[in-house]
Amino acid sequence: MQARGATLAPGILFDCDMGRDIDTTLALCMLAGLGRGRVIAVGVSNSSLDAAAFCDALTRFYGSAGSLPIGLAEDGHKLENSQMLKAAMDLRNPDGQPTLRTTIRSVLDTGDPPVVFRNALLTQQDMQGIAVLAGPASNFARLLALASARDIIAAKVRLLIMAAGAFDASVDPRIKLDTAAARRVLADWPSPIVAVGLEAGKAAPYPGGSIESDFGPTSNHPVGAVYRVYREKQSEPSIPAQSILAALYATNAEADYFKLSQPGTIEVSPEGRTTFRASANGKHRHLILDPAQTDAVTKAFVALATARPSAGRGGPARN
Amino acid sequence: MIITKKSLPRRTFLRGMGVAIGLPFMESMVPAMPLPQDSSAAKKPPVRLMFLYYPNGIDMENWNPSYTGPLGELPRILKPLEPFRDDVLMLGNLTHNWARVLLDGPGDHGRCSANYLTGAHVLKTDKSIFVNGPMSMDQVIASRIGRETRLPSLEIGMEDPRQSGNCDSGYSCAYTNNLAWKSQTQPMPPILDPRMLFERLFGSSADLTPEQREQQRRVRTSILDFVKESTNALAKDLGPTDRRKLDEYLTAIRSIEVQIERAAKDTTPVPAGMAKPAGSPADFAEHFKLLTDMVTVAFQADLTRVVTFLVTREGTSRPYREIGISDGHHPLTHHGGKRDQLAKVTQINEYHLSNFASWVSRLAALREGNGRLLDNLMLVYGAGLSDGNRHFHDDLPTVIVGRGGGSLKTGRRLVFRKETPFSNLHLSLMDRMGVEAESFGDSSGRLSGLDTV
Repeated sequence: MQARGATLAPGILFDCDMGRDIDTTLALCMLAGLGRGRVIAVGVSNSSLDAAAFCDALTRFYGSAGSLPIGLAEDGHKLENSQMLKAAMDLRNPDGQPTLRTTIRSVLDTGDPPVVFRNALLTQQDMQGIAVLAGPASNFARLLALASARDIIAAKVRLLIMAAGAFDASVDPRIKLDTAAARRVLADWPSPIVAVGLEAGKAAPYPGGSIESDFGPTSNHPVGAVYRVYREKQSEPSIPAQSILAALYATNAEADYFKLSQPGTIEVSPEGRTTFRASANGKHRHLILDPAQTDAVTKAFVALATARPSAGRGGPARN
Repeated sequence: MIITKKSLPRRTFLRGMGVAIGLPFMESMVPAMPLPQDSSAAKKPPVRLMFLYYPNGIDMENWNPSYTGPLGELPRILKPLEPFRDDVLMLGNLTHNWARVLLDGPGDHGRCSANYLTGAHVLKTDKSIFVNGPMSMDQVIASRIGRETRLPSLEIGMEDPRQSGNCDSGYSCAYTNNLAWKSQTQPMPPILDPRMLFERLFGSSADLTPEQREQQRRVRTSILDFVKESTNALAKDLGPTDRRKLDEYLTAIRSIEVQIERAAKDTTPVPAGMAKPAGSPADFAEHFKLLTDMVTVAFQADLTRVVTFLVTREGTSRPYREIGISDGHHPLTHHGGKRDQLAKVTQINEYHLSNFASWVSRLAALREGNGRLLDNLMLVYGAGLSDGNRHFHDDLPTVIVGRGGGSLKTGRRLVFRKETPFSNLHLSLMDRMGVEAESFGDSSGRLSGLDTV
């Protein structure tokens, strides 16, 4: 028998290293405003107040009305450069008012990510939750360490999608930033895990050109502002889409264009290298992109990530 | 050989005909040259913890200061505490997540009082009550240190004895009318009748013979009459300071008796919406003073170290005619932004605080050991809702008065991160009561900075 929550629109926990790349920003845009799922809590694994404020502002932009709790790691790694986020936060509407608004001014305006996640999961029916990880696994590892949280995850979360790891010869820096946390999550997380590797994100990049055409230099959409900063330092307009792919999978897991590996186990070496070993009882899989489906995937990206918030649900004019 | 002056035992009682009156801490109880194993206990009075619970939320606009750190000018509701600012620790952003709607629908009032000291999920029912936590934090403390005092804990309240029926959207009255839970299914109903409380503190006639009970009834004017002989015997051995202290203490007990007698004769009609327990004064301030005066004595005599006080119950529609408010408290809190209604809520909040501050002023005048009684107390004044209009369970209004035996750095406002579990406060207070635990309720750790500036 299927658990009740499995048939409901999923409530999504989104944990990220916001600000390190544009991929994560676009993933949150998709989830916050456009996907079928609903974001129920956002965690930030770096210790940047700018990143937490941006997540708050972006989800408000898409209509959360400030009700979405934002968790911020106090002891996370440092975000070297928050220029992309600042560019979006500096956007102004034609009337001169800020496009993005946040009430996060200090760390006190954020929560401890494990508590924020646990509390959010308790609003969900059994098996209604989906967790999306787009950064180091530090916050989710701490969630597992919180008393009784593992039981809550087991009851409420039907799937963890990790935009982390690499299933070719490369090393994903998201894993490398906290290998201990990645191991803990892979070993102890009670629900099935689907990993989206670096190679999958590179195989289906987000077409940056579409952002240029949808959100030109005068646009006050945050995606346009973030992309303009990103583009200044990139020779290619395309964007590796590891987190975007994870977000798309969270909202369209049953779509034809996704294929998964056999069940197995993902192991993490001390250097941060991820290895997948197939095993019938394994609870891990990794996403495999069919080259023939790349166009369909990128079209889905663009359709979801560039739509504006619908009337009454958010947008530039909201507080 | 160690020479010690013969000292009065801390557990000395004045006894006589079914009465046992504990004594406050006196100089005579400190040995001149204490034995090493006795020194810390003799020098350091115990820490006592009390929760005072107020229902229906608070007008947060007039509760929260605009600053953190050292307390300066206090907001309107807290103004009465200004003379005791240095003894006040304000806490911000504490949250009781299990009191929220989650998947249980309406019934915030029913949830938040049962959840307040348990930090646990409350089963929505008006029949087979169940709080999904082992016991409330006061009872955890009582179970560990309660044997050290005559009463392991004390539960008191000012209204509504109902323990069954539906008190809020399907939540049993047992949830709204109790703070303390001895187990998942067993609340500890508060004592509502002042005389019952008095007898609990100073003994009862239960162990007397029928002849003695009859004699007690015939001759009774005051319990002090029954302990006259032992009082005189004790006074002979006391120094002038202790004699004065004993006299003041017994006078306070007599004053409580007089208040109880007056309340018993009180025939003032009870306003609609108010559930007045038998034998209690109809006037809020008088009733509050009577109960808190008895708690003072309980603290002075170290009769108990844990008290929970459900001042009024969640969802109460009690009017406050004493201050010219004939509307019910609960309906007023659903003001929907109407300024006139909100102003009355603020007025009720101020009234509650002013009564509490009066008690604090009486406590601040009492000496204990080398300091004040207040130095060894932790009086947690708070509510299970912040915004009563919208039923918010975050940033719960919380003030601790007293210095917890030096374990609290008071005179400050501390604000924690959003969503910080209220249960973290429980864990931190349990530490200060000498009760160690890894976790409690939905705690995620301890509150940092309570004892550091």
